[in-house]
Amino acid sequence: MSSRSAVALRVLVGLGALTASVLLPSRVPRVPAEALPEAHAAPPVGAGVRRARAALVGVGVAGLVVGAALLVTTVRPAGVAGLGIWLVGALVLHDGILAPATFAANRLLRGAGARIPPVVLAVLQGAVVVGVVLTLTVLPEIRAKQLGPRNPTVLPFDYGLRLGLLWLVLAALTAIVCAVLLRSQRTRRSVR
Amino acid sequence: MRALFALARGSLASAARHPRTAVVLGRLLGTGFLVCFATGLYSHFLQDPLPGMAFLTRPASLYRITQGLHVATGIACIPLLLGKLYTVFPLLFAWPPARTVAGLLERASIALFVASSLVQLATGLVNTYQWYPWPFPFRQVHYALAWVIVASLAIHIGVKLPIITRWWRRRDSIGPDGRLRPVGTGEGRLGSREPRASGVTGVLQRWIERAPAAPDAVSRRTVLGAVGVATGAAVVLSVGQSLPALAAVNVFGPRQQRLGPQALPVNKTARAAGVVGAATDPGWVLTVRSGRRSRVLTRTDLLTLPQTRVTLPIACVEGWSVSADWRGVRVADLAALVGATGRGITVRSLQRGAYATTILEPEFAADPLTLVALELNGAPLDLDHGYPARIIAPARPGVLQTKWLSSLEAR
Repeated sequence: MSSRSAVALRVLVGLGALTASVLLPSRVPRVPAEALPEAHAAPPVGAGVRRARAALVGVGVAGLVVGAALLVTTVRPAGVAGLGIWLVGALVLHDGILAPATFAANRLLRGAGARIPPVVLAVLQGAVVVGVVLTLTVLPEIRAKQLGPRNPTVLPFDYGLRLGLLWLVLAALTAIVCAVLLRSQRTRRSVR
Repeated sequence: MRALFALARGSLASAARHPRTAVVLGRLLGTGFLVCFATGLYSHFLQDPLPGMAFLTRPASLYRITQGLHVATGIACIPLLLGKLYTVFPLLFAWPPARTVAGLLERASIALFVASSLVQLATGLVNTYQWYPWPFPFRQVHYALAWVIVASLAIHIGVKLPIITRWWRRRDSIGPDGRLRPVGTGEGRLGSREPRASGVTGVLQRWIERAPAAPDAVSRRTVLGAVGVATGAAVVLSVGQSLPALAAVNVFGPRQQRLGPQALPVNKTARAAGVVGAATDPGWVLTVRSGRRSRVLTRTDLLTLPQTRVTLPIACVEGWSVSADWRGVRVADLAALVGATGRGITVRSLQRGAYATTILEPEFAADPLTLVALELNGAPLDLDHGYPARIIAPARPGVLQTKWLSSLEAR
């Protein structure tokens, strides 16, 4: 079996297991939170904190009313509906795609990096996070440039090229930091 | 479903997902949101003042600072928000989803808070690229969402106040062994070691747990470090569009400070505004009016009046700003020609549509730095910078620095 179909098979099995675990009854022992180790009761909430909470929630509810009023008085119903779709879409994108992808990438990196020191793995993970976050902010810029800016002073750079260079610089920096960390760990071990 | 949620909570549990981390990132993000809200309100009211409002005209770079801060802080909030959401993600899988009506309302308010924040930051960023791929008007929605976000922030802080105060200080959060103190019930437990599941869920659980986890301190520092570096990088690599000191590392900014005709970027060209013909017409005049008194001035007339040189920035709502040298006639001197000293002025442009007419409040009209500019950086105004004449005033957004003037009328 080729490696690609092996990966596909594993993905299918994984998805199947996930579906099955939703559908099939599965026993999880019910453990009261108090019985878990390290659990202890939170300190009681004082009257000052209670008053501050009430004030903050009150101010918040008033602010929500202002926001809703601004929305319905300045934006047409079609625009409000469009915003609603974008709000739900944002939740789906983050909670349904970005966050699970982060978890999966983290699990795979941890699995693959089982033999490298945790600090080195942490640097690698950090570099991936930095690169991905910057990529997320620059991708729409690349697209906007493709669509054609209104005049030559808007989006003047080749953002795709710059993003590629950023990844190269990031990779080089990460490699240097990891090499230094690995070497210092090795010397420490040989001294011991 | 209960088993799957338990599996999600257990798998997502990490030392980095600790209320202390959520508080550390949360207070930075909360501060960022408040800075954006304050600077955003300032920008909003400059463009749409309530009756009786007056504004500071000094320092001349005030708007340059507030709006540069608005955009740079908004960009900084993107990695901070993603980091904050990372630390609290297991809470999404709480089971049962809500125990009380208040709990349900709280979760609904969190959903609104998260969704509004994500949409606000994403559309705000893409707006600086002058791309508007959404089915709603940007300005109105950005303003309304700002209120929703700050209101949700107040509710969120109110609800979480005991947890926030519990984990606010370092010395209350970290034990003598240098490790984060364990989280008790009611103290904001974010995911925890879940009991062993059996069956298919158990298999999945064991597979996920087979990968080694980093030591607690490492995983916590990884999250804080990565979010910190990403935040710093996102700001430093774009803020050069408004901060001259960092212009050399302006890698991703949508503008370059000195790029454009006469070393100044352009937002709307004369062609886009549809004013090429009217602005290059040799018969162009500027009309200055107050009631029945009026003066009609050609460009040559304007050039024979006393000229003033000022150094003032163009500061765009999109965040970029550039300082430039301007030369022209004081608006106060022109107002005096028709006996309108001390009054507000309605400024009309040759262009049509939004911003064709703007208001110079009395404090801006009277300011000695406010000019009808005829020259920019030592040469007659470029057509794209408002030839034959434009307004330049201190501490005002670029959209109100009206180009291609046609008349000034006392209010």
